[in-house]
Amino acid sequence: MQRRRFLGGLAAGALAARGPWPVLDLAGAPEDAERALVLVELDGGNDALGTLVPREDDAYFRARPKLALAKDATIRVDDALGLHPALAALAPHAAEGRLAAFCGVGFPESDRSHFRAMDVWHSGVPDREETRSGWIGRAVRRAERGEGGTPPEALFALAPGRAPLVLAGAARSVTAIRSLGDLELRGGEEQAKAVARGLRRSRGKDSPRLEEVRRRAEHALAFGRRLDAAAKAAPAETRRYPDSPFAAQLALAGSLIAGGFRRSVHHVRLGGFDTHVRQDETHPATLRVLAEGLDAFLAHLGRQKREKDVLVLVFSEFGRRVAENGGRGTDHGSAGLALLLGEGLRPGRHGASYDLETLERGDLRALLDWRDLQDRLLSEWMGWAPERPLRDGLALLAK
Amino acid sequence: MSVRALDDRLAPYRVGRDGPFGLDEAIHLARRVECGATPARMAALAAAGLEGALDEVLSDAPASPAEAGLLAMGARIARRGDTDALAAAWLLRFLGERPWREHLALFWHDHFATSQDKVADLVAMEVQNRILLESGAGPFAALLERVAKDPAMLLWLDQAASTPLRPNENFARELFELFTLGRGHYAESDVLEAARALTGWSLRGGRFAWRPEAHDAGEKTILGERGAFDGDAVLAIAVAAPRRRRFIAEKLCRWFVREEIDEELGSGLAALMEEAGDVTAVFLRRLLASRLFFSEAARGALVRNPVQLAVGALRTLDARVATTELARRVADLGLALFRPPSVEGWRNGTAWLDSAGLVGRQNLGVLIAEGEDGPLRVRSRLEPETEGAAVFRAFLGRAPDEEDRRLLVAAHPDPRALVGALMQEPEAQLH
Repeated sequence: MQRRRFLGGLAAGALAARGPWPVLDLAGAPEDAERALVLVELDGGNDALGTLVPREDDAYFRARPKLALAKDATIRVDDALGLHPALAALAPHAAEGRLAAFCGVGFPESDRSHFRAMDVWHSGVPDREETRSGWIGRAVRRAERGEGGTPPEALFALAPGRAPLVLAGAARSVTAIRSLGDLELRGGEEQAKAVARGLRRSRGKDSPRLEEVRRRAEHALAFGRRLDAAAKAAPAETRRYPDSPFAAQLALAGSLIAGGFRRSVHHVRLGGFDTHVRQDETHPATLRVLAEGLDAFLAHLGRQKREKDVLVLVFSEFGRRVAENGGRGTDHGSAGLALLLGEGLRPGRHGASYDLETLERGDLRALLDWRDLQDRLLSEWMGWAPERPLRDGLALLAK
Repeated sequence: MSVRALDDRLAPYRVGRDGPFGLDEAIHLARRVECGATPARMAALAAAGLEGALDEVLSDAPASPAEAGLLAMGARIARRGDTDALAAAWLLRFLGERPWREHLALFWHDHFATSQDKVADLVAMEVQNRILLESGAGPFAALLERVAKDPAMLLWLDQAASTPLRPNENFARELFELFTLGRGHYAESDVLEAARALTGWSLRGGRFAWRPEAHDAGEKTILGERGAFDGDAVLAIAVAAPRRRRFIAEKLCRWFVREEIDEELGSGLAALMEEAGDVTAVFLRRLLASRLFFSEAARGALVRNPVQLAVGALRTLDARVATTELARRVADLGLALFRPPSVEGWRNGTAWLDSAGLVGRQNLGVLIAEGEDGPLRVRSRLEPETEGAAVFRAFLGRAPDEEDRRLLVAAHPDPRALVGALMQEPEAQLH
């Protein structure tokens, strides 16, 4: 039932794409072979309505008697929407045309489990328990096979904690680091020799598990040298970022891009969005960390003259329930918010705004399928073959 | 129906008919249960035979005065609010007399993953740690009840902030999804109804408090049962749900034996759990005594997590070490005790072996080889006459071959240099 309604909603717009995606404006952008993509994961389920606020919608104020933000408190994006005031650091970017938003992005058959929802987002395969590869990893694999576009120089997982599935599936290894010095061997050349010996010795041993370890260790050893070179070309700029672990991840992404990994994909993560209680206290603080980190990152790119090379996608595993709960919090929901940041886009809201009158189990309905957005980024920003035929992803959103 | 009929792989390993119980088997057992042991202990386990070795590694001796002292120290550290020092105190216990209890507590810490980052109450975290240690080997239902009603969990998943008007679903959801049943074995409505039943659970003065006035006493339907349930009933229903045995048994199998579990093995594990009366230590002993555990497919098949690797190396060396520094290094490798990344716990298996993780592990080997001169200040208490080949075998799980001789010669006579050198190898990441 739920699924049919979702697909029915999409059917209206499931036409073949006509022309380029109206969201991007690629005049002045470098060749796609020199572009980078930064994925910013908001872990825990970011509250869409509390981030990009439907400031004129009575239904919002009814659903959130304690949590709703006063109309004038938000930062105006358009007549209907305003950013949470804690996102003030993003206001200049919104005003100067570097911010695009999509309200109500989701998957069919959404699951309110964090882990399932996050796996689905990363894999881009909602209809299977696919936990081996991600939508970026598979696109890179296609490029590696010569099926469209230039493979990246590197895939970077920069957040501590679990490895981002989204990057898995390519032949090249993912480089997971927290700082430019992370692959430095404490014991120098002598240790490098010992590691190389171990790699040699373990080759051809009849164990798939050991082979996997060997492959990963080989990558770490080889990539360490390239990272050294990048560190020399572009010293860390951590001091020009706010003091947060999240900003440190972005500072590292900035240094890697500036240090020579122009064609690359980066995954960073900010936690703290699972706001079941006291959202009015915790959510603003977390949003501030997000906005100030992103602002410093965009400034970093600007100083390095790389601002046109990079697109940032901000996502979360789901949005939260429309109605607040009894603890000044919100519970798990389904459709959520996607933000794009960068020079090469047409700013503002794309597609319809939230529809708070027609909810599904108390959740926002998905107006746009994440996979369509993911495929557009793959094909039109990175120049890789999309996973599915491109669809006119935005026409269906017109109300 | 006996377990045997369900899955032959879980039948008891009969020494002689199914294979030997020699040094290799003893090493396999001690690496998996204790994370590692000295060559002398490995030899003693082999000499004790399978049953004797199981008695030894799963010793039910009560806590010694030394261990009790460490626990008391942990409580004092918690009052000071020093998370790193508390992690260090736990690692010190890991290097102590009953590593299997600590290892099982770590398994439960991963299962009921609770983080100081949100709980922000180290005393509560330390109390939870003691619950995992004291009840981790016993009946699952008792462990679950203690953990669920413990302040750390009540804060971690917001149960203490739930109200009958708008019940908080956080704990109810994770109870089914992560603690007892797994996805696909409950419905969204079960979560909502369980959240209603759990209202009234609260905290007062840092302790569990039942507040009848804050409880939704109405009828609920949870996993097909109907009644005016409360929180205790929710736990009982979750524990009694048919999937629960299999869920917990499979997870223990993935931690101690191997990751691949097919349908048949899954049912067999559930039946084994039933036969064990849901007592974790009984189940674990049967699992470790199975043909599956000693099968070729289970040997060297698991990735050591950072604690297993570090503790394994140091137990092999019978080492004394600067534990606060060790806790910090282990946290750098991705396993910060008392601070799991999410309620889902840590991602285990090859997820530990990302680029920085591997280099960090190799660098940990260098730190161990640096001995007293390095920041870990590692001292080995191995008998000076312990042979390098025996240390090699105890740590890596196989005897050195001709090509390994050079490595043994280069490290001679310092066992720390040898273990440190072995940690550069892909094989050392597995056990």
